Amino acid sequence: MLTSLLVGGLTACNPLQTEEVIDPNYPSVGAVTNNATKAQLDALSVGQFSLARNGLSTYLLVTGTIGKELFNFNGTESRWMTELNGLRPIDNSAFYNTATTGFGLPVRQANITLAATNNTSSVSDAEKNAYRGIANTFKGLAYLQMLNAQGTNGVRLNVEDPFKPSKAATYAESLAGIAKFLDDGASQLDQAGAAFPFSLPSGFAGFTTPSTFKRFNRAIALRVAIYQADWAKAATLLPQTFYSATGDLNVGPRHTYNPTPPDVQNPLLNTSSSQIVGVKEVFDAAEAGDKRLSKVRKQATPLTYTSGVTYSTPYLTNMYTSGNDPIPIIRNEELVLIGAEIAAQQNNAAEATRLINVIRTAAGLPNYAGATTKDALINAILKERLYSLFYEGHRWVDMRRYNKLNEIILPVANMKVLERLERPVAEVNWDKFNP
Amino acid sequence: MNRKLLLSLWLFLGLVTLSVAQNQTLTGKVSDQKGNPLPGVSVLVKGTTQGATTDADGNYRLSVPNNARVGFSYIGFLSQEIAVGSQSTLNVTLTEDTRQLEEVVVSGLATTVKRSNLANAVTRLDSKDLTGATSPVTTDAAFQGKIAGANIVSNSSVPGGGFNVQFRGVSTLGASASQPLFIVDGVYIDNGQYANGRSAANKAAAGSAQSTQDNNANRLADLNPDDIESIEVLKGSSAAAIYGTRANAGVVIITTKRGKGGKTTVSFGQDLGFSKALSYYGGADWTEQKLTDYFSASEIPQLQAARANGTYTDWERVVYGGTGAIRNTRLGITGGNEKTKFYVNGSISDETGIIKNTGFQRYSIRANIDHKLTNWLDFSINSNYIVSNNDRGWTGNDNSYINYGYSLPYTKPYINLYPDANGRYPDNGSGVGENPLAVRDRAINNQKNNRVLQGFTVNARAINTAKSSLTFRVNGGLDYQNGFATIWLPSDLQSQRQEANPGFAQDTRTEVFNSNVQLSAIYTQAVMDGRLNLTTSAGAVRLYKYLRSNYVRGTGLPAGVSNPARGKVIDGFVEYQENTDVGVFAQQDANFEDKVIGSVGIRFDKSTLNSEFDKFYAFPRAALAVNAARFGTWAGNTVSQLKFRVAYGQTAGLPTFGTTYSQLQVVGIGGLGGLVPSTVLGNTAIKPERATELEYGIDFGLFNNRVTGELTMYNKKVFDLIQPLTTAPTTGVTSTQINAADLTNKGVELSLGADVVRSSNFSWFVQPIFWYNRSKITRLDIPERLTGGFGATFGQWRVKGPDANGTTYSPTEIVGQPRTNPADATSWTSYGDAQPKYELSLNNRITFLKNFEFSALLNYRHKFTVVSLTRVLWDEGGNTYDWNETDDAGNDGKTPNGIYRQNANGLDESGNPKPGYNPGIYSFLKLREVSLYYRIPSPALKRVFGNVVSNIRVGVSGNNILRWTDYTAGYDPENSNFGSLALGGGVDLGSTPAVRRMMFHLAVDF
Repeated sequence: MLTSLLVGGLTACNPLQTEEVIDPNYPSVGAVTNNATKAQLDALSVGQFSLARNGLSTYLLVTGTIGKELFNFNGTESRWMTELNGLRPIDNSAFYNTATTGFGLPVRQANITLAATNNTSSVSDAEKNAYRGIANTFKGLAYLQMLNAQGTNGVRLNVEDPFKPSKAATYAESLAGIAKFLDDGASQLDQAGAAFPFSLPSGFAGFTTPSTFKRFNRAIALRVAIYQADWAKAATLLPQTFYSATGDLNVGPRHTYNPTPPDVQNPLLNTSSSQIVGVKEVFDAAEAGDKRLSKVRKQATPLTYTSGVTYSTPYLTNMYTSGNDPIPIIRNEELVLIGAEIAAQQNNAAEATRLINVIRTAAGLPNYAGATTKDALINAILKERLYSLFYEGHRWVDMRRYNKLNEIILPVANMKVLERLERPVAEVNWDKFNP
Repeated sequence: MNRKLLLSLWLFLGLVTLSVAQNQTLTGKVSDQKGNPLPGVSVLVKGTTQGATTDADGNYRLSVPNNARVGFSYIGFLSQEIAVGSQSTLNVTLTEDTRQLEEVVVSGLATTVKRSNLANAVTRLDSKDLTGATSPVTTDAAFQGKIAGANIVSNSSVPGGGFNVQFRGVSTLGASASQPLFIVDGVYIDNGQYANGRSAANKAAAGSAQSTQDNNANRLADLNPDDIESIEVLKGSSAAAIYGTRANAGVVIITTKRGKGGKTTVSFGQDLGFSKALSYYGGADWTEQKLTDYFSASEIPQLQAARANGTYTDWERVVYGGTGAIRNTRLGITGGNEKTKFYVNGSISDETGIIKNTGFQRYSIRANIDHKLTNWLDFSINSNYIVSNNDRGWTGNDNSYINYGYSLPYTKPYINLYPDANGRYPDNGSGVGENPLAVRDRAINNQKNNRVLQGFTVNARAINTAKSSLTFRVNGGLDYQNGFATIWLPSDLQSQRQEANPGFAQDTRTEVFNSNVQLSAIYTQAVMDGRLNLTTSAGAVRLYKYLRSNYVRGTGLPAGVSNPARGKVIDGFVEYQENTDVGVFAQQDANFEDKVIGSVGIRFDKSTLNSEFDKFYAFPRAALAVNAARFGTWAGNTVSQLKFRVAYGQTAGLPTFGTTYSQLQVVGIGGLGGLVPSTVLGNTAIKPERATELEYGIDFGLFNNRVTGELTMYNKKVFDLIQPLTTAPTTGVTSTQINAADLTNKGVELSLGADVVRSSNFSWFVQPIFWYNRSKITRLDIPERLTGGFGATFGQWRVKGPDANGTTYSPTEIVGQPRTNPADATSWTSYGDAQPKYELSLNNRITFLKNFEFSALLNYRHKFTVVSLTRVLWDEGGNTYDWNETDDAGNDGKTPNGIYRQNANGLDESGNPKPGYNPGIYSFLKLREVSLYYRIPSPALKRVFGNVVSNIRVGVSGNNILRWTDYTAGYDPENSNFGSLALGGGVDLGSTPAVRRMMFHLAVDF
């Protein structure tokens, strides 16, 4: 009796039968690849904005460290100071490879969105183009950051099938491929109607329609053009962006943050164990009265790092203090400096000087009084870029594209400036295994 | 199950039992060699299942057919078989079995076999082996050094344990269960490690919901080791095949104590003890020169002041220099009568750590009840309720200086950490983000668990004649646990004040339910005049498991608030898991005169964790043992046993839950919700990992089994290992799990036992055990990969398939920087293997002056690789014990070791790892257990207590009392920042000192 109760109770019906367990936690990717609804496409597109922040903090710290504009005084992780500064061998499987790999997911998100829009009848063509334009714009941005970390290693331009990715293209091919994604995005935005199908995050205030969002797309394309040293193309792109020599230099789309999940808080806050400091030599060399020095706060007692390498600097970064602080993606200040660079490259010294002075005036500095040869102007622009775009991931890339890595001042004698990050070990292994 | 079938089954049972014949009555008394009566001896009429057990005075009463042979068996004694003839009284003396040849071990899901007839090397540990010498905190702690073929590594020295148990090498490369299956009295119990958010609080694994870096106890810790009568370890697939799909990492079968009937005995036990750190690691002296040369000269005034005031303090000794208190109390009652027997045991284990505010308490009550309804129907019920409470403190990896293991290496002795008169803790010195005393005294990391283990067995003997028997058995049970973990970092801690949202609190609930039920039928028959005994068993098993876990995490807490629901930022998390496994099995055993013993069996299993959730996978097994000494008379008196044995079997390991799913996860930005794909793709064609094992060996006994030995060799092959196909991460997909690798584990296990001296006043039993295992990957269909650890700089586990030239690699090989060929990104330097070259144990048991008993267990592990980041921290902090010295191998004799080592890595000229931040190869010898007991002689007891007290035993014991090791990269080479893993377990980071435990014991039986 007892037995039959137990048997009956515990196994009910056929004790040999089992049923499939459907994922009790999350929906599946398969749910959006076939006839996705508008709500699903909206969610994918919002996801694209969210993922644009992926890998960003590591990227900014890695590029800043290698470019010797800032250091991460990380008490519990000395490899920021040692390996990234060439004091110990670089590690292709360490955490800092996120500066490359973190941009893979936004690319995949864009590819999933593009595939989903191609395989649905739930939305209009204009709406499809809106989703596509956003996807391609962020795809281009993600690839560009990945390429900046990888340099001449190049990037894989076709990863639609993650099990059959293309081989890494050359640096020039990579830039051309990225330009193509951005151009595709731009033309899709042109055909996306007057408004987006959903409201964009607040960091994109001023870029909330397809036509204004396209200005952001063109600004990224402009960055690509100057990396390509294609000054004619750059000159064509400049007016298509939100460039304004007379406007607020801080205008531009930004990543917003919020500590309340599922959003995330600003990842660049100084904490008790991680303090992002300005390199002493960089800020000591700044001209007196430069307002851009407010990006760092000079400490009465210098901050000293002693793990693996000893280094002191009084400059603690001061740009991010709240979990809600946004991080700019690209600002008008960069566009003005690019304008100056295009002019200098096209031997228009007057225009170059005028735009340099726009920046210097805003920084509270007297007008540029140096030589106006092309080289002198480029050096002047690179210097302004160092302070104007501090902590925005440019110094290292700028000096590299002008072959001036050896001109970067080494704060500690035996430090080195790496030319590029290594290809992540999993990338190398994949190609070894799939020759 | 179908009701009609059941009904007819019972009718059938009812009919056949009526036919059991009644015969003459036999009575007698069973005693040991000293004449003490033996209660609970099993008395059985051979060829039948008719039997009885002796009462408290050793008396039995049994009805037997004419000319029957009656067997007497009792755990720990050699069995006897006696022809009754026409006697009606039969008194028997049993002799002690020091070799345990007669003990019965499991051979199937429903059957057992005598050890002397067993075809596998099954390690059996009884309560004397497990808890007889000293009181281990947890059951797995009691295994260390006692099981040939086992690599058991303590993850942490914090009270409450945490162990990584591997039998015969690694059986998975990380995707399936790395830990053996534990079965307690037929109940499949959970041994998971459940996250509590600690590594999110200290940013060791920031942002992750679940982490292996929480450094929690595995839940075997809930089981009271003192309740265990014996454990049997089925190490490989050949022994564990009948357990099928969950048995790849081995099976540990735990049998708890039961009532033996007879006079009611009340047993009381009390342990009192203490624990201390085995060693310290810091203590380097600080001088003004040292600050000037290598640190910050601006701190010289602080150093001078501390020297002048006498406040210069070695903070490591302040935090780790405490004494832990051990208090274990047990009260057990056993007894019963012919029909009903019971065992009830309540225990309190209470142990505090060497670090203030750490500790482990376990309250356990168990009742095991056996009842015979009729002579053909009996049942037993085992109930165990456990409450455990664990304060684990803050150890291991960390990214915010909260863990002591992170802050102490950097804390300068001239900084003051003591609170002021108002109880306010000062901030740590420059560059160190937290005061370890503030964390120790104010932060909370607590895990509580409420757990019920409930098992049952019903046996119905349908046929019970002299020549055959048929028994139907239903057994199973459930394991339900409800965990509750709290984390709190007050918002005014130094590390928190600089956070955007200071303070961290998390409340985690984890509910885990396992149930299993098994139906089996066992048919035995004796043929060829009783010379050939056949046992047929068959049945079905169904297992079900669910996990429901959720937490509320709050940051931005107002001062003094620990309730996470009141944080400024509140994060929640919910996870569900569920799976069902079903199996059917059949087994045929045959025994020819105890000379040739054979067994074949098969199990079919399916599981919802496999992609093909409804597909049965087959797991066959076969075994043969030949007792050569029983053939003819050649063996004489010298060779008392010579057994050749061979066994083969298959098992499997299941994919982990969720392997088949490609998830869309939820993100948010600016109040908008979005969907993004997981970077891990699901595989809808995943199969279980399958293993085959061939095991063979020789067992021998010489000079009336005074010297015994067991030599075993095995070849375990694991196929279709689930591996992450690590894709190029720039594709946005990091991996998917595929069946992609094969590996083999080959090894040797040798255990010897000898009664070196056997006299009434002095006896000395010595048992050396030796074993090793070699693993190699024989197929790998994914790119070579590194896993575990913290990057190639410090060393990682390499999963690498055979080279083009056929060279194979061990999955537990540790490789790292520097590259041997700078142009080749995967030309790593090899630093040996995380598995030891060999392991050796030496167990000694000495009894002297009749009532004294001494035992000592030594355990040696030879040359295994440890990945350590601990020394890097201490060197960077300037505090390593030998920081100021200049004598390290390869050092120039001028630079302090602590500076030299920070820039040294790789191998030296002779191929040995340098003393840098690279992995190293080490060995250790530990005195795992040592004890001395005194049993007060019975006459003395009688004089003082009359008949009230039957037994008093007092003793002292110790755990890990002595240790020798060449490990210099941290406290102890036994360590795991990442908990229990097949690959990547042994990483020493931010660890705390190993601990020695000393105890005083008192046991009284009433």
